[in-house]
Amino acid sequence: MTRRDLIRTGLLALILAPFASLFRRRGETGTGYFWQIDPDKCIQCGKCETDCILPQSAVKCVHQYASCGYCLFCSGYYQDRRVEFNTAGENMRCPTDAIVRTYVEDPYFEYKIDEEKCIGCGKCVKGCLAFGNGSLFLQVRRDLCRNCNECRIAKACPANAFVRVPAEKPYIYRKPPEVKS
Amino acid sequence: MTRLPLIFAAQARFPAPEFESYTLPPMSLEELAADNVLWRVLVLCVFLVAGAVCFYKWRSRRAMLAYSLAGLAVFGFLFASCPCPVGMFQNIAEGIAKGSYIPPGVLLLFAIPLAASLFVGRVFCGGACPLGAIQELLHWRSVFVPRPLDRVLRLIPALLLLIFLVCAIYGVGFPLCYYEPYLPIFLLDFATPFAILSAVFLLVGLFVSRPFCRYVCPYGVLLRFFSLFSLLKPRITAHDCVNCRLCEQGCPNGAVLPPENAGNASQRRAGSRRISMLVACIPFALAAGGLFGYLGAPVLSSFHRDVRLVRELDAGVRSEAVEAFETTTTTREELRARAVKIRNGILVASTVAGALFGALVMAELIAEARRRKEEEIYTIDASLCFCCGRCYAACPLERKEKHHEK
Amino acid sequence: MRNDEIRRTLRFLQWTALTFILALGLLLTYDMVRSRAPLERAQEELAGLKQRDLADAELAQTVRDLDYLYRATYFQTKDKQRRGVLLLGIAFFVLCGLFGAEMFWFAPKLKVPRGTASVPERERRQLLVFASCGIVVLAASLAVLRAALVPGHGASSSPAVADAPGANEVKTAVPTEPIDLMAALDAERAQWPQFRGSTLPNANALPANWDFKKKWTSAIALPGNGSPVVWDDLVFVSGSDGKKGAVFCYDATTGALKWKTETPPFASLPEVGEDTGYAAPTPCVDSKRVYAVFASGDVLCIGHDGATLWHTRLPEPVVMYGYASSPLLMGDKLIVQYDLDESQTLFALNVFTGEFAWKNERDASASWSSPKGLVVDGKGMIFTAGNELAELFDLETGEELWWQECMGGEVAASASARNGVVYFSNSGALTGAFRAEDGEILFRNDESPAPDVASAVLLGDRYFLFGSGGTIIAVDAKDGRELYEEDVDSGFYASPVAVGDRIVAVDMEGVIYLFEPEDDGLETEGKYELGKRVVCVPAFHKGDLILRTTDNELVCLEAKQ
Repeated sequence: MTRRDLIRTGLLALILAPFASLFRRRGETGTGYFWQIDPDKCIQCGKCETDCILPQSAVKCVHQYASCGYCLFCSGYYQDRRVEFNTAGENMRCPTDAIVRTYVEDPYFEYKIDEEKCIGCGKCVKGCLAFGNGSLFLQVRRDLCRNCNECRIAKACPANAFVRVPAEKPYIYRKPPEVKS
Repeated sequence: MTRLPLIFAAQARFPAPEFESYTLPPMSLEELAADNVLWRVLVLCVFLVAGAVCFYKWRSRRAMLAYSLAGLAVFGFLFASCPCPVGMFQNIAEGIAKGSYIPPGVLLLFAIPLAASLFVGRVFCGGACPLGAIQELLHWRSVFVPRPLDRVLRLIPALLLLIFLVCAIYGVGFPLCYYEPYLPIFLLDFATPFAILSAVFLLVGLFVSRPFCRYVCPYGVLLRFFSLFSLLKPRITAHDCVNCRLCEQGCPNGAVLPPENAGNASQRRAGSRRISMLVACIPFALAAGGLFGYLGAPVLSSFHRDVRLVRELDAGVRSEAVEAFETTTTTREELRARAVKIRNGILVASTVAGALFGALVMAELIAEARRRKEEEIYTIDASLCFCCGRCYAACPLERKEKHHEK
Repeated sequence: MRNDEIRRTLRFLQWTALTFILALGLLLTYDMVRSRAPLERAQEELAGLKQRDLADAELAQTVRDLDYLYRATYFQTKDKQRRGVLLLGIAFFVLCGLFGAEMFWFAPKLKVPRGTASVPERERRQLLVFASCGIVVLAASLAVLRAALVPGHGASSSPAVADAPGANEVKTAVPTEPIDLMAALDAERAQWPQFRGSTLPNANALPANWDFKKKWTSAIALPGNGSPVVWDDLVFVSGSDGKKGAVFCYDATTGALKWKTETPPFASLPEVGEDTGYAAPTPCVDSKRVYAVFASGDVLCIGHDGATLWHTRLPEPVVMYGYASSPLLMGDKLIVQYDLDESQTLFALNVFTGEFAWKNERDASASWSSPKGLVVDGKGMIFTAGNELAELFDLETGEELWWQECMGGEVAASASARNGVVYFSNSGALTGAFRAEDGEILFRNDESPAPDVASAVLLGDRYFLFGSGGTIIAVDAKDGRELYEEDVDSGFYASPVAVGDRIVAVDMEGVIYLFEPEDDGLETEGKYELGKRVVCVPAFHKGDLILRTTDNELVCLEAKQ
C-alpha cells in the first residue's frame, strides 16, 4: 500500500466515520435485551422525561384503546378543574399538546397520542389513573431507545419499574382492568 | 364528599363502549430489529486480525492510524459503542452472582480481546476499542507524565475494577457504563449533563495521552495481565538499538523501558534489600487494604437502591421512592432484611477487594523494584503498550528502513 | 506551496477550529443552563395557576398564553440546541480532519532527543514516594466520601427507629393497678372524656340558660379537627402541623395553657385531605392519663401533668382523606379502629404501657367511623361500622362475636348504644339497629336521608339524624319509622350530643342549639350564635360549654347569671 492510498483511505475514513452512524439500524440491541417499563409499578414521577442520556428520551405515552372509556371528560386529557371542553391551554393536562381528541360517536371521544410531541412526562398517565380507566401508560419505544447497558432512567426510577426484557419478548402492556359488574 | 373512592383503582371505572361504526385503532407498538451482538463479535475478530497484521507485519504508524479510524467508525459510530467489551465484565459478574442467563454474545465480547491479547498483545486497545480509538486520534501535544507517577496512576484502574465488580455483583449497578465518558459522542447527542464529562475527557485527552485507557479503564487491568504472556511481543526495531531515546520520548504512554546496566555489588545488595523490605510489607498492605475496604463498604452500599430506601424510611423522608415503595406489597421487614443482607455482603466483598488491591499495589511496587533484564536496548513493556505504533515512527532506524523500502 | 507553509496553514486552521469549538461549546452550555431555569419556572407557575379557579376569563387567558409560550419555547429551544450541537459536531470533525491531514501529509520531523536519560534508581525512589502519596490521597477521599454519604453511625449498627408496632420509647415502671370497667365507665359520665362524651349516657350539668357570654378564649398553637375533652378542671385538645403532633392542656376555669407535650417528629406522613389535617381523632382522657392519636399513626399517652408516659407508632395509616377515627377508651384498653385502604385492623392498646393487648385483622374496607363501646351482661363490647360490615368484638379478647353485611358507601358516622341495642345511621349505609347479643337487625330504614358526617344521637324513644344540609330527621327507636323532620339554616358537621334529656348540637356556622324532643317535633329551647365556624363536638364542664372553632380557638361559654 502506498502512502497516497493510505492517506486517501485514512482521510475518507476520518470524515466519513461519524456518518457511519447513519447506517445504524433503529431499535437494535447488542446485549440481547431491551429496556421496558413495568406499567403497574410506574408512579409517573416525571424522571423518564429528564434522565435519559439522550436529550429526548425514548419513553412515550401509549394508549391501550381496548381499556379506554372514550369519555367526554377524559381525566388524562383535561385538568382536574376544567372550565370548558375545548382545547384551550388552561384546560389541558399535557404540557406539549400531544394528545389529539376526536369525536367518534355520541358520547364518545377518541384520544390519540402524537408521539412527535410526547415528551414522556407522565402527567396524562397520572390523570387517567386517578379518575379514569388507566388506559394510558408510559413505555420505552424500542425504535428510539439506544439500549445502553446501564439505563440512566432505570437507575433514577424511584419505583424500580424498569426491567430488561429479552429481545424476542413483546412489549409490556398494562394489564387491562376488570370491569366491575 | 362525593369523590370516587380509591377502592375502584384496579377496576375500570368506565366500561369500554360498544361502538356502532368505529373500530379501535391498532396500538402502534411495532416489532423490532433483532440483536446484532454476533455481528459485532465477528467484526471484532476481523479487526483484531487486521490490527495484528498492521502492527506486527507492516509495522506502520500510518496503518495503525487507519486501523484506529476504522475502529472508531465501525465500533464507535456504527455500533454506538454500547455494549463494548470494556463493560462486559460487569454483566458477567452480575450474571454469575444472580445465576441468570448470560447471552453468549456478552461472553464472547468479553473473552475475545482477552484471548487475542494472549497472542498479539493489546492490539484491541490499538483501534478495535472505540474508546481507545477516539483518544488515539484526538491526541495533539503530549504532556509527558513522569514514569513513576504514571505507574502509580495506572493502579487506579485496578481499584476501579474491584469496586465495579463489587457493585455489579451486589446489584448497585454498572458504574462504568453509567459514567462512560465517550458515549454521548458516539450517540451524537450532546445536550445532557453527561456531555460535560465527555468534554472534560476529550480536552484532557488532547494533552495527556489516553487518559481513560491508562488511568480509568478496568478492562485494561485484565488485558495487562494477559498480555504479559503474549506470544508476539512488540519490538521497536529489529536493528541494533543506538540508544537515542527517541522511542522513549515518542511513546506518550510510558511503555518504552530504557535499559539498565547490571550494577555493582553494593547496588545489587541495596536493590535486594529494598525488595525484601517490600515483600515484608505485603502483610501490612493486605491488612491496610482490607481495612480500607471495610471502611469504604458503607460508601458503596449507600449507592444501592434498597439501602438508600431503608435509610429514607428510617429518617422519615418522604421521597418518591418511599411513596412508590408503599404501593408495593413488600413489607418494611422484607426490605430491611434485603438491605441488611446486601450491606453485609458488600462489607465482606469490599474487605476482600481491598486486600486484593493491597496485594496488587505491592505486586506493582515489587515488579518495578526489580532490575530490568535488558542492559543495552530500549524495549517495550508489552502489558502497557497500546499498539499505537508511534515508536516505529520515532525510531530513526525504522524510518531509514522505510525510506529504503520505498 | 512549500511544506512549511502548508504546515503553518494547517496549524493555523487547527487553532481556529479549536477556538471555535471551545467558544461554541461554552456558548451552548451557557444557553442550555440559562434556558433551563425559565422553562422550569414557567412550568411551575403554570401548574400553580392551573390549580386556581379558572372561571375568571382573565386568569384563563393568562394561563393560555403562558402555556403556549412554554410549549413554543420548549420545542424551539430543543431545536436551537440541536442545531448548535450539529454545528459543534461539524467543527469537531473538521478539527479531526485537520489533525489527520497533518499526520498523514507530513512525516514526523526527525526529532532530537531531549534532556538526559532517565535514572532507574531515582525513578524507583520516586515511585515509592508517589505510591505513599497515593495512599494518603486514597485515605483522605475515603474519609470525605464516608462523611458525605454514610449517615451518622457506622456500617455495622442497625437502623435506629424500630417500626415494629408496640415499640416502647419511654419505659417507665408504671404501676398497673387493675381498672374496674364498670366503675371507670360510671366515673366518666360526669366528665367529658371522649368523642361525644362518655360511653354510657352523659350525665353532665347543662348550662343554666342559653344566654351565653364568653368566659375565656385561648388560641391553640397547632391546627386540628379533634374535639376538646375535659376531665375535672383540665381541657385537652390535640393539634399537628404535619411535622409532629402535640397535646395541649388548658385550665378549664381560666383558659390558661398549662402544658403542651409533643410527639417525636412524625416518621410517616401519609397524604391527608386539607380538611382533615393530622390531628383529626379526638383524644381520650381518664382519671390519670390522656391519649391522643394522630394521622401519622403516632399514639401518645401523657399524664395529667404533661409528662409523656408512652408513645407507640402504629403502621402508617394510608387511607383516603386521612386517618380520622377517634379512639375509644374502655377500662384498661384503648381501642383504635384502623380501617385503611389496604388493611383493616382493630387494635387494643394497654393503657399503662402502650403495648398491644390484642389486635384483630379482618377483611373489611376503609372507613372513618369511630368504635362504640357498650356493656352487655357486665362484659365490654366494641361495635364497629365500616363499608359493608357492622361488627361486634369482645373487649377483653378482641374476638369477633358477630358481623352483619349491611353497610356501604363512605362510612364516617359512629354508633350509639343503649340497653344492649346498637343504633347506627350513615348515608350510603343504612339507618338501623342491631341487637348486641347476636347481631340481629331489629329495624332498618333505607328511605330516610341519613347523615354523612355527623353521628346520629339517641334520646328517649327517638333516634335523631342530623344532616349536613341542615335537616334533622327523627326516627322511632323501636321500629325505625320516620316520625318528623325539622330544618335549620345551616348544616351539621359536628355530631350532636345527648346530655341529660336534651340534645345539644352546633351547626357549621357556629349556632349552638338546645333541643328538647317533643312527640311531634324538636323544640328549640336555646339558640346561640357564636359567630365562628365549628366542626367539633362541644365539651361540657360544670355547666360551661367549651368549643373548638375551625380557626383554632378554644372558646369557653358560660351562662349569663
